[in-house]
Amino acid sequence: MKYGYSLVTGLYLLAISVVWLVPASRSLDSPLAYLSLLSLIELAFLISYARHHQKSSLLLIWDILSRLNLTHPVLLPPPENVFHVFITQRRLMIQGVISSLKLLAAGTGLALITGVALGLPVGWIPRLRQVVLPIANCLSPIPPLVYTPYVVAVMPSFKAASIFVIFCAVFWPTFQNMAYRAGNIDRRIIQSAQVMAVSTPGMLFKVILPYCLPGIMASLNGSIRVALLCLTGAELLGASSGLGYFVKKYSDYADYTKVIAGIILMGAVVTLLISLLRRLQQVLVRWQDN
Amino acid sequence: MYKLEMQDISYHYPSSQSRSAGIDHISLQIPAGEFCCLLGPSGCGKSTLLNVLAGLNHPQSGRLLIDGLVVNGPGLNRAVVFQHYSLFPWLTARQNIVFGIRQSGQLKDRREQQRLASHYLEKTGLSHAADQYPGSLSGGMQQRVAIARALAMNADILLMDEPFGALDPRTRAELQLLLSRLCQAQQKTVVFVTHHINEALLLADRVMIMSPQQLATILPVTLARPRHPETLLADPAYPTLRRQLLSLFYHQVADELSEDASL
Repeated sequence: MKYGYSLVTGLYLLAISVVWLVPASRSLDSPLAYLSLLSLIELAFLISYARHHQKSSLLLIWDILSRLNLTHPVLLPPPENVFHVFITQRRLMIQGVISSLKLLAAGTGLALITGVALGLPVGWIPRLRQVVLPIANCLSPIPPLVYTPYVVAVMPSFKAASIFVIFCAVFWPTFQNMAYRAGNIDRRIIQSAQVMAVSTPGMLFKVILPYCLPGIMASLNGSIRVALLCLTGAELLGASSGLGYFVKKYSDYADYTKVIAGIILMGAVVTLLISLLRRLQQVLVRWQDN
Repeated sequence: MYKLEMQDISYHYPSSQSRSAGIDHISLQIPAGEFCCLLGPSGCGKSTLLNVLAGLNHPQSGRLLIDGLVVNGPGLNRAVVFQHYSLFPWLTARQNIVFGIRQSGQLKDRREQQRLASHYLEKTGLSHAADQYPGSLSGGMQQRVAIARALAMNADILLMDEPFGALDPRTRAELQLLLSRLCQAQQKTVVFVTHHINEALLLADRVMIMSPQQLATILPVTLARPRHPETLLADPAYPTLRRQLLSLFYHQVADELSEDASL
């Protein structure tokens, strides 16, 4: 660990001095954002002792390559310029993140509520299960990405279209997971609830729902990635704001500095979202770890 | 009037799940406050009988009466402890007990519910494990929680289906004494399924021996209380009773006998 630590710090110092000492041969924006990112990475490393040197060295390679004029200035712009976009375009970016997350929250929330509300009775009532599950099994494997362009074209507004696409991405896994677990619930748990005279709503919401929660969370973890994929895909097609829109807009103008910045932003948002979800999962299904 | 009465009850499982034995035209009467052990070999229908009493199995013929009234289905006048621990894994020990207390509807105030839960956690020696989830508790501890929950629900009737069957001998002995003491103090009417003769003699006021699908014999146990495994051996009536039970039992449970003698 000590070796890794000195390596990272060395790389960090090297990167900083390269930025300061080697004069760039082409027009650069302010290196402030890039330097602060480097410092942030170094800081994060020092605090957590995690292995961030890979990221750091990746940046360094990119940096050195562009500094030595080995890269195409338009297709792979220098990192200072890319990270400077985060400062100059911050309003548009924040707006994009907010509008994308709003759509994601609306679609996911709607899908979770309906998926659980429909999955519970379908799993619990055998006759309903026999009728509905074959249909669900047929519809659910269609990847939402396939009908995204169609939905965007057909729906009255882009907002409705993207919520619908996200809904489809999250609804089916939630519904199927819920129906499956509710149908295969441990009979002994049902029996012990029955002898305590638990009513039907109590059985559904106080017994079966908590029993199924780990499955819902696990399926959400996967389906939220698909939902993001569909959302950004939809945004490429017809949005007026959002993460995908940001990338699309600037790639139309061949402004790849901003495109790369947009892609990095997307990665950061997805990573943050998924780690938040994982944290939520740990809190909600704490009982399963024991 | 009896606390619990079965009138000519038959229950047979649908042939698809015929793994468990049914029961055939069984009648029995249990007065209030009696500790009654149902003794019999595996697969003679003991659990089926208990599930009928719990209301989980609806008898195809006959009637079940509690306090002289016909009952159909489960009810809060009966608390059940299964052999499997039957706790909700997503609730802590305390929350499981509080769930039972809420279900029983006896206390509306949340603080009162918590206090009652604490009371039974203490009585069953669980205070230190109150906030653990069942998954991290041993079998004996889980069964303590299940007993605490059943007692906290304040039902007059306690139905127990081999509650100590999966426990090691030491834990089993501890819980037998605990249960005996608590039931004695609260004057519960208990139906306790077991296939251990010693357990039946330690706990019961009356032992009912089952042969396949039928009640074979009913034997009153007149040993003085409180009973303890050691003082029981000194009781002059004990060897006679034990011999009686063994001989009644001999034809059906040759297997269980050897197991029982070693305990």
